[in-house]
Amino acid sequence: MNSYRVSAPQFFSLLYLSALSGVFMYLSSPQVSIAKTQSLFRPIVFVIVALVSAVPVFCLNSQLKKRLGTENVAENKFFKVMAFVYACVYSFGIVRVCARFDLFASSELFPGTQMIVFIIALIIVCAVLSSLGLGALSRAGSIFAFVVVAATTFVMISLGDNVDLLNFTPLVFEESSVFLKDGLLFAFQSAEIGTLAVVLPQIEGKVLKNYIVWAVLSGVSFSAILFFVVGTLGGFADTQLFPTYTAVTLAQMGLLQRMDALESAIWILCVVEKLSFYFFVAVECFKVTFRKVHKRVICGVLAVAVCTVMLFVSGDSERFSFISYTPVMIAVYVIPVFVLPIAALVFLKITQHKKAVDYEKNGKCD
Amino acid sequence: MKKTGNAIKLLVLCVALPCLLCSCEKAGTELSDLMIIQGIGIDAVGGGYRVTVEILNNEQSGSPSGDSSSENKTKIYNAEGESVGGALMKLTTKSGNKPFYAHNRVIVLGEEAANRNLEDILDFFERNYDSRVSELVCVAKNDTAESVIRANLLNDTVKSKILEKMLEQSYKESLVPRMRIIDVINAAKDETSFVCIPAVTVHKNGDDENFVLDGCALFGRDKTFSMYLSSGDAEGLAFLDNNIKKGFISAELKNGNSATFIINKGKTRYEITDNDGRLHYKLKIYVSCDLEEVGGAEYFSTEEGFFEEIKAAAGETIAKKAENTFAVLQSEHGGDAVRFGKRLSFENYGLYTDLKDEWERVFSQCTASVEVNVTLRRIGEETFHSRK
Repeated sequence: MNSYRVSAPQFFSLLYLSALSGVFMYLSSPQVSIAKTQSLFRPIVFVIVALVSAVPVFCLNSQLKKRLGTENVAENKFFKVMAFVYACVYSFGIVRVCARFDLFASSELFPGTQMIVFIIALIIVCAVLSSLGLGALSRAGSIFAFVVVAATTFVMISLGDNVDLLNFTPLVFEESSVFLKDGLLFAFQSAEIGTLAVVLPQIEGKVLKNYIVWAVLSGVSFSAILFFVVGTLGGFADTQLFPTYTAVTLAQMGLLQRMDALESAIWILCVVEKLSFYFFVAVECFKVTFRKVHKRVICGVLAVAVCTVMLFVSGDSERFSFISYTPVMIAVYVIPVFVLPIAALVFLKITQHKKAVDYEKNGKCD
Repeated sequence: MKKTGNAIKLLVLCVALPCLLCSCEKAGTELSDLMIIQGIGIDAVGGGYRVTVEILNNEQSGSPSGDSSSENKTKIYNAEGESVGGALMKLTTKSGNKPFYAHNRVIVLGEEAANRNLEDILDFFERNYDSRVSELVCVAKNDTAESVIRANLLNDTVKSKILEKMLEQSYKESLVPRMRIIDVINAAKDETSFVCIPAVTVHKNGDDENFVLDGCALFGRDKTFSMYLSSGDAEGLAFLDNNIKKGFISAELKNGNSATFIINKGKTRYEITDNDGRLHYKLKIYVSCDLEEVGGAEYFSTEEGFFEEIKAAAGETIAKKAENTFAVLQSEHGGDAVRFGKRLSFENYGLYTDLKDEWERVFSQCTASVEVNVTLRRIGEETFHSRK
C-alpha cells in the first residue's frame, strides 16, 4: 500500500468530518440569527462558495504540475514564504478549533470546569496522530464518517417528535444583501478548503468529482442539521451559545434519554480529526520553509506553541472573542483559499513572462 | 518480543482508562456531596425571590439543617435572594452541598412571582450550564410555589416526579399544553402570542394532600400574569393549536345517553380570510378515535345511521370545546395563546406585518368557525347487535 498518496474518497471523508465539526459546535453570533427558515438555505451559499473557492486552488495545482516539479517548489523563495504563511494560518486555525472546543467542553460537557489540562492532552494526541500521515488520517476519517453519520442520523430521527413547524419563520424575501452576508459568514467557517493547495499533490483519483460531491453532501448535511435545530428550538436557538448541542439535549428514544452524551462523544472524533489534519498541514508547510528541521521537531514546537497560546486564551472570554472575531474568521478563510493561490498564479505568470522575454533577448532560458 | 510490547501497551491503556471515569458530571465529586435538585419553586418576596427546592436525600438520612418533611427520599430547603440565581446559590449555605440542576424536573412559579416578568425569572435556567431546557414549568394557582413543593403527599415519594408525570400525562391527554423552558421562552419571544402555562393546586384530603391540575395561567405580551383558564376552558387549547395528542371525549347522544371516545390522533387545518380588516379563522379538525363506551347500545342495533350519530356527537363536543376556549381567549384579559398570529404570518406575511402591532385588538375581534371530521377507528370488542 502506498502510504504517501491517499484516495480521494477517503480524503474527502476526512474533510467532511472537519466541516461537520463546525456545524456541531456552531457558535451563536449576534450578527447572524440561526433561528430563521432562511438559515436552512445558507448551505447553498456554502456550496457555491466552496465551488468558486476551488477554482484558484485547482488552477494553481495544475499550473504547478505543468511548470514546476515538487523539488522546485521547495527551493523557490516565493513558495517558501507562501508555505510559511499557510503554516501560520493553519497554526492559528488549530488555536481557533482548540479555543472553541475549550469553550464547548467547559460550557456543555463539564460545566464550570477548567478544561485546559484536557485541551493540552488533546493537542498532544492530535500532534502525535498528525505524524502518522495523511493516509492514516484519511483512512480513519472514512471509518469515523460512517460512525458520525449513523449516530447523527439516529439522534436527528429521535428529535423528530420535537419538531414544530411553527418554530420556523415565514419564508419571506429577505434582502439579498442580508441573505448573502449571513450565507457567506456561514460558509467562511469551513476554512479547510484552503488546505487543498497543500495536500492536492498527495491525493489520487478523481479529485474534482469527489470535491463536488463533498461540497454538495456537506451542504445537504448542514441543511438537515439546521432543519432539526430550527424546528426543535425556534427562536430559542438564538439565545443558546451552542444551539446544535441544545437541540440534541432534547433528543430521547425509549430508555435512551441522554443522547447528548452519545453525540458529544461522536463530535470529539470530528474535532480530533480536524485538529490532526490542521497539524499535518501546518507541519508540512513549515517543513517547506525550514527544510533542515525534522518534521517531528516542527510538530513538537508547534504543539508547545499552541498549548502556550491556549493557556493564555482559556479562561478569558475577551481573548476568545478576538479569536472568533468575524474579520479574523474571514481572513482565515480568504488568505489560504483566495489570496495565496491567486498570488502564486500571478507569480508563475510573471516568471513565465520573464523567461519568455529573457529567451527572446538572449536566445536562451535560465 | 513484539507480543510482549503489545501486552505492555494494552496494560498501560487499561491502567489509564479509569482516569477517564468522571463520576457524576462534576469531576471528582461524590454523589452524596451533590444537592441533586428535583423541583424548584419560585415565589416573589418583597423585591426579591424565595426559592424552595426538593432535593434527593442522597445519604438516606436527615441532615440537621434540612427540613425532612418528606422523610426519606427527598428533603426540602429554601432560601431568599435578590434574584432567582442568587437565592439558589444561597442554598449551599443551608445544605453544605453544591446545587446540581441537571436532574431538575419542574419549575413551579408562585402566583406572586407569576406577576413579575417571566423572561427575567427564567433567565437563570436559560443561562445555567447544568440546567436542561426541557424542564417543565407550571404555576401554583392562587397559592405559593413553596406550598406546592412542600405538599404533604404520601410518604417516601419524590413529589416533583409526580408533578412532572402529571404535567406530561396531561399534555399527552391533550388537556393542557406542555410548557418546557424552551416553549415558554419561544412563546414570550413571539410578537403576537400569549404564554399559556399549566396551573396546579394542592387539594387537602384529610392529613394527606394531592396535586390537581387546574387549567392554565395566561401571560400577556408584557410577560406578566393576565388570567386563569379553567380546566374545561383549557381543554379546547389543543384543538385550536393543532396540538392534539391522545385523550378522551365524552359526548351526549340524541337518546340522552352518553358515549366516551379515546382519541388516537388528530390535526387541525386552518383557512384564514380577511373580511375588510376582520379576520376569520376556519378550523377543520380531523380526529381519529375509538369508541370506548356507549350508553343504550340497543338503541343503535335497529338504527341504520348509528355510526353517523356517534361521530356527529363526538364532533359536536369537540367543536363546543374549541369554540368555548376561543370565546374565553377573546375575553377582556384573554389573548392569543393558540398562535393564530403566527399562523397568519405563514399564510399572509404582509397582512401580519400590518396587524401585528395591534394584534390584541385584532385577535379579540376575529371570528372562528370550527368544522370537525371524526373517524371512528374501532368500536371495541362489543358489537352493536349485542343486547345488554
